[in-house]
Amino acid sequence: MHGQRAFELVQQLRMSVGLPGYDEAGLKEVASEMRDLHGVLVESMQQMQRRVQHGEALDEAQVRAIQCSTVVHLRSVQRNKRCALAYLVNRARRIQMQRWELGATAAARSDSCMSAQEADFLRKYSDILGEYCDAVQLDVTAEIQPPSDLLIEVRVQEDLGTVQTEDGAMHLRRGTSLYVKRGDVEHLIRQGSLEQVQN
Amino acid sequence: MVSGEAAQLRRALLRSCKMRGFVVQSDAVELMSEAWMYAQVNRRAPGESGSEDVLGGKQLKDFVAVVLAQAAKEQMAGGTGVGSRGVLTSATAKRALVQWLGTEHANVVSGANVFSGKVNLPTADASGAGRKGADGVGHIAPTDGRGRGKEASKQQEKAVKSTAIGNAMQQIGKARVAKTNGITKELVLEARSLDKHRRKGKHLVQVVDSQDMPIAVFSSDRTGRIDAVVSTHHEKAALLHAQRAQAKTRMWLARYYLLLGRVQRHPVFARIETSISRVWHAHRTDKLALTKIQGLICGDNGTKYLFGMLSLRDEHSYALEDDSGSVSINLDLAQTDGSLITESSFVLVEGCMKEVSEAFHVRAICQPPLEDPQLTMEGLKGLNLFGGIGQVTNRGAAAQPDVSPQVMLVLGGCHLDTPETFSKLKKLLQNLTAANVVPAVIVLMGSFLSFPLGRNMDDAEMLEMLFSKLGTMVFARFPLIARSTSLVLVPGSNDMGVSGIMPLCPVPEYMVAGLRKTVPDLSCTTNPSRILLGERRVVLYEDDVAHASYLGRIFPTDACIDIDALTAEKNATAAAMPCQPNPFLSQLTQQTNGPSQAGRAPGLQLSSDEAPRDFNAKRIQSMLHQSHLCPLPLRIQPISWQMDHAMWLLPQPDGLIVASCPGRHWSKHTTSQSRVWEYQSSVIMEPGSFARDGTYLLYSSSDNSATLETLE
Repeated sequence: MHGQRAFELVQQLRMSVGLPGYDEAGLKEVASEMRDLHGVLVESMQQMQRRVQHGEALDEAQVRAIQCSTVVHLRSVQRNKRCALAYLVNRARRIQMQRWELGATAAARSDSCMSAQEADFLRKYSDILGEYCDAVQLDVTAEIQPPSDLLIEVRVQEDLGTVQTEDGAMHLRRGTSLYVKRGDVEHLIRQGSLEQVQN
Repeated sequence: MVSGEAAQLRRALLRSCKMRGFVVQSDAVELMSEAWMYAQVNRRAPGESGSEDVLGGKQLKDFVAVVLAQAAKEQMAGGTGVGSRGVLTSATAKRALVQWLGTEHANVVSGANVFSGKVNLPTADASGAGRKGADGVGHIAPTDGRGRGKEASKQQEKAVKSTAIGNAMQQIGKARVAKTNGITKELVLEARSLDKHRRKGKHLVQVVDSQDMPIAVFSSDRTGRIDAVVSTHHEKAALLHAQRAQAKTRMWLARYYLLLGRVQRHPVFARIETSISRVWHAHRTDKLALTKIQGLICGDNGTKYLFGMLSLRDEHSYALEDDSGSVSINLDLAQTDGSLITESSFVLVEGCMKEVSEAFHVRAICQPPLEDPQLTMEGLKGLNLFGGIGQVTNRGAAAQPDVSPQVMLVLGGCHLDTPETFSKLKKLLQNLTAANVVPAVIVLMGSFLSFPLGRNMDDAEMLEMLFSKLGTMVFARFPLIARSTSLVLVPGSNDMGVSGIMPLCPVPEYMVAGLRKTVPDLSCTTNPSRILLGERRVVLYEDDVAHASYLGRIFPTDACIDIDALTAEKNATAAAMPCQPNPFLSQLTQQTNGPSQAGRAPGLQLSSDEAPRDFNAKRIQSMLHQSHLCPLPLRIQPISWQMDHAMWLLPQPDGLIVASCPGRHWSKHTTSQSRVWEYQSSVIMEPGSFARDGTYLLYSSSDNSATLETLE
């Protein structure tokens, strides 16, 4: 069925959480299907043109059949294109979201799920966002809700080495728990390297 | 006060990093502030840039932006599973800084190269601390004498005048002394070596041993996509030690994915099969679709095409495995393309499944088709799997006239314990000197002893003595060649190391200490190893498994029919049956073997009485088809699982040198032949034995050709 693959592409993205792997093969299949459909479309148009030029008389039913086939093919191509674009743009949105939620380093880490263009997009987006934050001297990606406490207790889930904060170095060794400034570790909590201990 | 300045700088850096969404390790911050100060000291000629504040301000921000952008890039290219997830590690920061130091100085400091230049610290009026600082840096980047000294003293004069700058510099100098932890030193050295390689450019001769070869990291989602190529020692160490038991599985999977990618790029196989193309476009049905083995279960018993690894299921039945599953196969009626197919090699098969859960009946079986290296490069999206720095991935410009022709001399089977070797080598060098030829590289391939090392107690001492004798008695007499040629020692199976496990470790450094005195540019490399000569990629390999692969072949190859009476008989019955050539095979072989049979490889068109020596040619052909130097089961030729990437031949090299050692399994089928022939775009060289026959190879990189020479 026409457009099946394109639909799968979008559905797959919709049903997944986070950023699923970039389905290059799927996109290529969709593109190739579009080429095929377009080929058929062009062919049938040319055939019609030829017949008209040769002065062939077409009866109503034939004309309708050709019209119908043309419309179906054109619509299929358009639908495929829409699906492919929807896939790409929604992925780009998710990448942006990751940058906001996880910070620049962790977002760059998930690049194994991205195409080269997407990785490039992330890099440039990250640059722009960073530049803006730097200019206004405010981390706009920080939590919007004001925190109830400035200091929180966190448990370290992953060895991250010694991380520098404005108040000094912080040793993030797995299994330890620390009492730290919320602003310093927000991104790390969101990406799951640290866990906030609820009192 | 000094520590206050440094702390202020660090805080400013940290703030900038945080604003840009980076959580940074302490070491990384340290590194960045060091590099920033280093750059300040070197870049700003006193009196020129005014009394601008070093800390804060626009410049620091720019620095952070550039370095972090670079770090993000590095992070992406750095491979998976290495380093911490959400934190900018010091290793990444270091690489980013090296990049930054390199490019920055090329652009900003016009004319004066910082890495070889003088550090412009105003030592004239600085205190002792400042002087020490200057000395510290000066030690890293020594002055290059003339001319510079004048300039430096001028700058010192200027520095005395502008005391404001002087003070700033002094403080930085003190800060440097406060922590001379050598991080910057390391950075600068690394950047310098990078720079050196860049400047040397295409006249480079690079020997890439198996430790330096990059590793491809495949994505975990089983799509066969290469995520990254890991080439730095640091990351490779992490990768090599991280995997233990899975290493073996990964080795087979990596080989499978590499070849699968190549097969899928082949025009005969449609990677894309759409529902519509099959129904409406008759011309598209000539494309074949590969089926995964798991997909065979569905009960459709039409013709299927599989790609997978041949493995032995029990004594005489074989199975085909891919990443989805395995199926036993029935090879009774299989036609082959006449190539050497061994167990553990990857093959394309055509056939059908008659009943579910029965064996897959193979009609045709063949090697994966070869591919133009150019296409492979495109398929790999420019990733460098060969190794070496500054390799030109697009070889469209390969035939540049300004590339000076590089000549490589290859001597196989150099048994140093045979006295003739020395006399022959002397004569060879004499001839070269007389003809005024200085080869860029001389490769001596092992084994360096004619018997396995360790037979007697003093073998190692003897070999050490022989190497130094090689220096004093041979190379010392030809100082021009000794000084300007790179000598490469490739060990053979008789040499030192864990016996028989590929890749073989290099000849130990202490053994060649004597030889190194006369030949300074000496590299002891592994077996196999790779050499980049300008833009030509040459692979060196020495083994003694020709006989084993002769025994391990699954089908009688064309050349061996007359040797093996049993198989000849079987073949006769097969020939008696009316069977036309399989279209599947002809389709693939047309594209792969066509040109070579049309006369490009005269070495392969051998009459039947020369059949035994043809076997080695078949073996080398199958190496190229398999993109692997040893497509044999591990029980025949053990390969270190983690180092399997050293055996890959992808992209297809320009030159392949295979020396078959007349070793333990010596037989008439595997006579080590010295010859040169071409297969597709590769020139294949079998150097034979220099010690025995005095044959050697002359390879010229300019036109990728080789000639076989013999000493009279």
